Amino acid sequence: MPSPNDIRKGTVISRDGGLYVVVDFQRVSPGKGSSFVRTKMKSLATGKVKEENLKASENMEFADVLNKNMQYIFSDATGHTFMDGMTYEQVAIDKDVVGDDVKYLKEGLEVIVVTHDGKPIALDLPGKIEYTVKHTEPAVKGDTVSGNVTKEATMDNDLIVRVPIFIKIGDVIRVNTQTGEYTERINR
Amino acid sequence: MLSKDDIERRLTMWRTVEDALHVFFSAHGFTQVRTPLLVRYPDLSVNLDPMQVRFDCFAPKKIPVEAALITSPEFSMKKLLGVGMEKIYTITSVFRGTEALAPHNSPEFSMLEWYHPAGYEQGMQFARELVNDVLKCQNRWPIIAHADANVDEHGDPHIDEQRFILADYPADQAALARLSKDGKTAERFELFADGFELANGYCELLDGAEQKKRFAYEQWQRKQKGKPVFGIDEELVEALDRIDGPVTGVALGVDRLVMLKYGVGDINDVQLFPAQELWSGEVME
Repeated sequence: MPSPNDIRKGTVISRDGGLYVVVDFQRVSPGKGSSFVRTKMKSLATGKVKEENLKASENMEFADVLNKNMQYIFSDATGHTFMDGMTYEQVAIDKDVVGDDVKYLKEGLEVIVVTHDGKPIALDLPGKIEYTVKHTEPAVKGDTVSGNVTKEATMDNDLIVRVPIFIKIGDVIRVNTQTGEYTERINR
Repeated sequence: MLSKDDIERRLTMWRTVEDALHVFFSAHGFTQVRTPLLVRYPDLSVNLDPMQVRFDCFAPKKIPVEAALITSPEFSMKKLLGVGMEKIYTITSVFRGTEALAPHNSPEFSMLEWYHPAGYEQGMQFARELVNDVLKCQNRWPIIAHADANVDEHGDPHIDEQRFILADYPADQAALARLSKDGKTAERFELFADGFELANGYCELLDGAEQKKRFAYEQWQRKQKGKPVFGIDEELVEALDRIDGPVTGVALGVDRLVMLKYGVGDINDVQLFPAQELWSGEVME
């Protein structure tokens, strides 16, 4: 029996007689309470989103889904197209399935496409993605003592991220896709 | 490993927060203390899973010792109060088993804990001032009673406030806190900020006999759940009776304070050695 600790983005939960796809989740371990998973899920029937806290020890019922590693290729009016690197099969995914995550897509990005009954229902992005900085202003001398001095930087896929002032054009950085924040610079 | 620039950046964040804490406590007449990480008697709460450690102690002949890493420095801090120290604080690593690897959690994290002669309301006020001082903000931190906060079965409050103090916990959710005068609630409060717990405070229970009873009950609860049952710290029980009340004690997650100060949403993005990379075994893209 799976438990809420096995939940990820794209997990399909069978609950209250309906099927729900997990769009977001957060594990919470309160200091002095039992841990739980704060789960945001979308009804596959109605598209309505609801939030529920699931006790970590609870038994869950997951519906069968297929997780496929695929690469992002391009977007057009009909949606976003991904390719299976093994079979070269291509799948177009509706814009609303990808939602806000569209800003993290870049050519060749490996993602997990979750399908249920042959229909793509969710995209599971890597927790951290590397990008090359396409543009950022050079550092200005100033307050570096307080540790929070950041500036805007544009990535190779036009994603905009606040980065520390030591980041230069051409640097490769890692971005946290849960928070949208800069994580670290990659040493090359 | 992070690059040197990233290490220095994260260190600066921590240093800024820790410096502000030391200045604040020093200005209020507190003494910084040091407490052991490895103890014989860890916290008995059924919701905590202390990490167990076995080693051989040569004193003078070999004795195998069963110990655990602290989940908070609380017991040692209270023993210091028992010998007459009054305003004390410490910043220490603490360890919690079965803590999920998640944006706000890590099996090892930094805890600030302080104790001072203060009643319940005064203790809350002090906590509020301390956090506002470090964050350089003027948040009101309104006090909301547990009964009014729409708290679900997991202890998660559902209200509109972004930053607030949840107070007056049900009596059975605070084994180390004093009960209110009517005995219905415990003098326990928690600071919640941006969807997670930042600090947990008690107006401390200072009755050794009552504490022993509550520990025995927690031992029973642990046994029921099939969790390891640890012994009762008799030195702590005796120390409680020697402390003049009221005393308020608060534990605060320093990693989370750093996250709040710099608007970082993931604990792994402030730690020098991110828990996720140490423990998940997952290779990042």
